Amino acid sequence: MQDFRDEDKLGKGYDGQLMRRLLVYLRPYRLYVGLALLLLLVAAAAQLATPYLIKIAFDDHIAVGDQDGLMLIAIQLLGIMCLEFFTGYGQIRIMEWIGQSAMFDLRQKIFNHIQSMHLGFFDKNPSGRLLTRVTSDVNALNEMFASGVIDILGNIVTLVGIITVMFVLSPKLSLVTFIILPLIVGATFVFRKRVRDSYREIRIMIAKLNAFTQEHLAGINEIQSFVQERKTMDRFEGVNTELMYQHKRSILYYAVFFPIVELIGAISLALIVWYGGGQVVQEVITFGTLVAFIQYVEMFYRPIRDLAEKYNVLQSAMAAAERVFNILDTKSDISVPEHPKPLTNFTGAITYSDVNFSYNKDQRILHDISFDIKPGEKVALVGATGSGKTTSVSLICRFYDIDNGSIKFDAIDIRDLDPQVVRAQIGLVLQDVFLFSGSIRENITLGNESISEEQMMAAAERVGLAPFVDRLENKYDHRVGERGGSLSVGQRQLISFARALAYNPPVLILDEATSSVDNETEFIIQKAIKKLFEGRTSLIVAHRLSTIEEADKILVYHKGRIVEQGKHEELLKQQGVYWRLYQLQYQDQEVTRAT
Amino acid sequence: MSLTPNQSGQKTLRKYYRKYLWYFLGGIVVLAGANVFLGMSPWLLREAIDSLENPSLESLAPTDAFYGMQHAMAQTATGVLPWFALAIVSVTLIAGVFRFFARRTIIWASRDIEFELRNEVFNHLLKLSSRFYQRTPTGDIIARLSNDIESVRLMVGPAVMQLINTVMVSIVAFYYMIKISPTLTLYALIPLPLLSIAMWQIGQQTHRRFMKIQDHFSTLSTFVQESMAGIRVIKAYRREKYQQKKFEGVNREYVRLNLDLVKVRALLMPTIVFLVRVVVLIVILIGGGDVIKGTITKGEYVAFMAYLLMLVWPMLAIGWVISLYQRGTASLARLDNLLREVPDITSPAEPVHPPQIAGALRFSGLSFTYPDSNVQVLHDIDFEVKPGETLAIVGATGSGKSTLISLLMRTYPIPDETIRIDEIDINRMALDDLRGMIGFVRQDSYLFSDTIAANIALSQPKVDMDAVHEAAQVAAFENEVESFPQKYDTILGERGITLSGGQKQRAAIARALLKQPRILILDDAFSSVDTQTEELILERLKASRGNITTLLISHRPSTIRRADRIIVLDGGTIVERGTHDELIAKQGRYYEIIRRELLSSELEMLD
Ligand SMILES: Nc1ncnc2c1ncn2[C@@H]1O[C@H](COP(=O)(O)OP(=O)(O)OP(=O)(O)O)[C@@H](O)[C@H]1O
Ligand SMILES: Nc1ncnc2c1ncn2[C@@H]1O[C@H](COP(=O)(O)OP(=O)(O)OP(=O)(O)O)[C@@H](O)[C@H]1O
Ligand SMILES: [Mg+2]
Repeated sequence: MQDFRDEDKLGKGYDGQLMRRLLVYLRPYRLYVGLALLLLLVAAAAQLATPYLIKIAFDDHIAVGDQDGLMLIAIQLLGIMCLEFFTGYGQIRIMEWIGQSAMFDLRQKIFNHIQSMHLGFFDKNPSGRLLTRVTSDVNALNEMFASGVIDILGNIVTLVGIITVMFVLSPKLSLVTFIILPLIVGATFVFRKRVRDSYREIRIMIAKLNAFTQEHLAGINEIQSFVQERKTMDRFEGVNTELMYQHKRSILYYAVFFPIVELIGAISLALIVWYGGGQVVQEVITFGTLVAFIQYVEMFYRPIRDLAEKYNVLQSAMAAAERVFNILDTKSDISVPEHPKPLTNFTGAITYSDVNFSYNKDQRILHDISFDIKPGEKVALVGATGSGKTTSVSLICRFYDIDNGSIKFDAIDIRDLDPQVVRAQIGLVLQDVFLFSGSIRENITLGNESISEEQMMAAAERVGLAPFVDRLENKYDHRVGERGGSLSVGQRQLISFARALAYNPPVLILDEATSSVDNETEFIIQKAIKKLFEGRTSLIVAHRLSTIEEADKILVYHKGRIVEQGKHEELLKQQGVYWRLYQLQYQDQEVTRAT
Repeated sequence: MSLTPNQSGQKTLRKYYRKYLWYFLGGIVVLAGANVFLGMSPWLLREAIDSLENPSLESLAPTDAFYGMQHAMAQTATGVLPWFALAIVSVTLIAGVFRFFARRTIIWASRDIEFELRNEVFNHLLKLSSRFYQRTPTGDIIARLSNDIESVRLMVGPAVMQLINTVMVSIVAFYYMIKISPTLTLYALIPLPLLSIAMWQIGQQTHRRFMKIQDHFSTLSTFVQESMAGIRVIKAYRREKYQQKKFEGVNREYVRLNLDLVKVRALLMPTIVFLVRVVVLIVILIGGGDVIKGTITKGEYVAFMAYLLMLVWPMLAIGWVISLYQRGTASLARLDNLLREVPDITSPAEPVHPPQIAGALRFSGLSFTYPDSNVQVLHDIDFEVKPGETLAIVGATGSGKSTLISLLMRTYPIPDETIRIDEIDINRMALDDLRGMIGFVRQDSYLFSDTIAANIALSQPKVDMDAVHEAAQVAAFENEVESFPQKYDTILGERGITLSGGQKQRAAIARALLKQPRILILDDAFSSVDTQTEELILERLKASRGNITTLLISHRPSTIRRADRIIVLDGGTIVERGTHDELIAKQGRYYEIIRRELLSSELEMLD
């Protein structure tokens, strides 16, 4: 088994594809992208006009001492400024709106996708890591969605504009200016690779840190009662250190990169002064042109620098995108048939034939399991711990797919049915109780509006939860805390039991549903269930044999095989595994009967 | 929004600022250096331009820094130009080296601060008790530990660097601007007060709105975390659609809050750009006039403009700094909330160190109500357990059994002298001593996603495989683990999800046994273990750890009757006590509770 705490490093050279996939999320907003771009163009034009106006101010007015003309220029500038303000504001709002909307879509998509994954996926991915994918990895894409694409387009447009103006003003001088452009491109590429590598590591480390935090705070009780605060702290520090180290690595790249870009800009400026200055002296160009050029170079290098910076910042987004798409590309192992067969009037007959199953390839858990449940039968699964009972019942819900053999509902293979239809037939009380941090009511109905208040309360009544709830101040609105932490374990189990009853399914599966409940309450529940589920199929996993004796059929599990099956009396007669199990309880009874 | 959380938050940061003071001071020096050199570039430009206009150097002030250099090289304008070009490149190069060190100091330190702050918060979290965790979802804490710490870092690192840079650029630029023309500089400063008022307003709004975003981010994280952890239930009951709908609501609200912030934030840049342009306008009008009048030269005018432009980006960056500062303080307040949470369970100042624990327990007059709840769970509990004795606690669901024994671990504060071990009040013992001597198997025990060996050896600094084998052996777990392909190196899923229910419980039992505790607590520790295996474990336990005091909670008569004595809890009160036989004979509450189990078997006996 692969160490599930580690994430696989992804292959490289994913870029173009990645970008294209990200852009898909902008497609629904392309009109707005267009609008933002338009505003950006206006703003860029306004920006471009300013040095030009200054040039005119210089050559036409200041040089000849024309105060009024200068005033006119000022008024024009004022107009441009107002234009710039409003287009700027509008553009930022639209861009952010687009970005937020795209992130909303993506976040929703990842969440939905993860929810649709098969259970094996969750066995291998800690919830803290999945949380990171939905939250901070998506947020890391903000830069890219909100401003990235538009800024890049905008910068390119601005560049083209500047280049045009410069060429119009003086082609020669322009050529001299652009001669070192390849240097910038080269520098950017060199840095891109390095920075991306450290961002990749950073994304992994963040997920690791979150998973660690999630896990160890959820287990804080264990840490404290085993006095493991120090060790936990040390390990946290270890992960934290790795994260810091990667961050620092990226700092170094940036620290080198930016000055280099600036230096390249200065070389350009120097060339203009040298060559352009000479041209002014030779009166090839005017003095104003030189001044305008100097400003344009400033302006020219800014978007370039921006582009280069954005490009590198985008590396962070790309690293996050890699992880996000990696999840989106992982398909659920449980395939939904294209044309699922209908399951009409399900009678409750369930057949297992020669089922083999393994969670991981190297360890088979179930071997040739075959049994037959007739409609309305009560079947009990017994056997030592780890013998495969829970596994067997979870296969009925199609949580995992079997290796070979078949499981059938009324002679239809469950793989030919829609898993949703399969699960709709079953009320499953899991061995591992899970409660959400809402109210008791929400935990019973799980937000299903078709369950009326009466049905919900009736279910609570049946499992003997009602007296407890009545004593609570807020009754069914009582909040149970994360994982039901403010309730006793037995109470949590009762709620999860009530849940199954409230859904009133054709088939009931109880996986040690009352293991932490006292005998009295258990007895009450049993009576209630018996009445309620008369004529319905049920599967019961239990260790207390008193729960089992009345079953129509008992399946005795041993190391992943069914070693005996039959009715209670038959099995006792066989004097096999079941008989031995029973002996223990029998002994027990002798003691008490003697008194 | 009151300022108090802000200020106390800054107090949290102060020690880090102090610790990394040298980095920040270094950053200031280095940024000053960078800007001094960068500031020379427009000046060189001025000289270059003026040399075009007027090749003679007579007009230059003799104090000028480049006087000598220029004097030497200035023969003709064209002759001098390459030297200017070279000078421009050189100063930028020098400035670049300084800039490198600016990042290397300030940003570097900010990563260190982030690292240490995160450690500090996590370390603090480890000290907090159940009470805190009862009301704080882990998703919320994760949000703070990742998202909020990052925004605090942006405040102490990039924002500080940018701020210093802006100040330095301003000083340098103003120095040259004043040098060129004091009056023109004064005019250029006119819009400054307007700028600061606008910034202040926007900043205030940012803080408030960002706080809301972060709070909601916690909600979102909590929801996602829970939806992942509860996936089995969601799938079994086909609630995927419902969860997705619910998430959509949470998600939408997050977007709404973000856009709410954008409304304000979007004003920031255009406002600054506008005001900067106003300055440019003023300079064109007045400065242009000055050139016409001849009060300043063309070169000076161009240089003045260049300095002004030099100021534009740092000014824009100020907008960014304000935004980061406001976010940082909002996040800092959220972190500070965690840090100000006082651990309510701590070791006493002068703890009693019991020399040798015999394992006698005495509960006297213990009553208990969960904090944040108003129902009393335990009433006046009195009982004692002799060293080496096994006591079973029996009672209906919710009668207070788990509460009673968890108090022994000081999970919640209890009055003095209500629980004693070897006649020492547990409130007077060091927490580590107390918790170290008790092996506690919780009812819903928690395993880590680590190897089986590491889980069992949780209490050890280093995994000692012999001890692991021994403990697993007693917990009847050894053979099963050996049958796994990876044996003890099998890595478990989150919460031990890849083990069966009974395997998890036995791993937890082994883990508690490996601690070699003086007192063993088994809270319903066999509920998922079959009776046969349970018997086996209890037998081995008796054989290998016969002399340790044991508290046992169980619903199984077969387990309970093994205890030396039994107490029966009902609604938080001890209603009966005695041995199994005594209590059966009494036909009271105990008999009532376990009768069912006997009855159904008895019926069977008649067949
Ligand atoms: N998600 C999983 N991934 C990998 N292995 C698993 C997973 N769940 C269970 N197993 C393994 O499958 C085997 C059977 O487990 P299962 O939960 O079916 O046992 P069980 O009979 O229900 O036991 P118990 O009575 O203890 O609940 C065990 O060895 C367990 O370690
Ligand atoms: N953290 C908590 N905050 C508030 N109330 C709590 C908390 N934990 C438990 N309770 C309540 O205290 C009562 C006693 O709970 P406790 O867990 O001690 O019961 P128990 O006897 O162990 O039950 P079980 O047999 O179900 O494990 C219950 O009514 C429960 O709802
Ligand atoms: Mg309990």
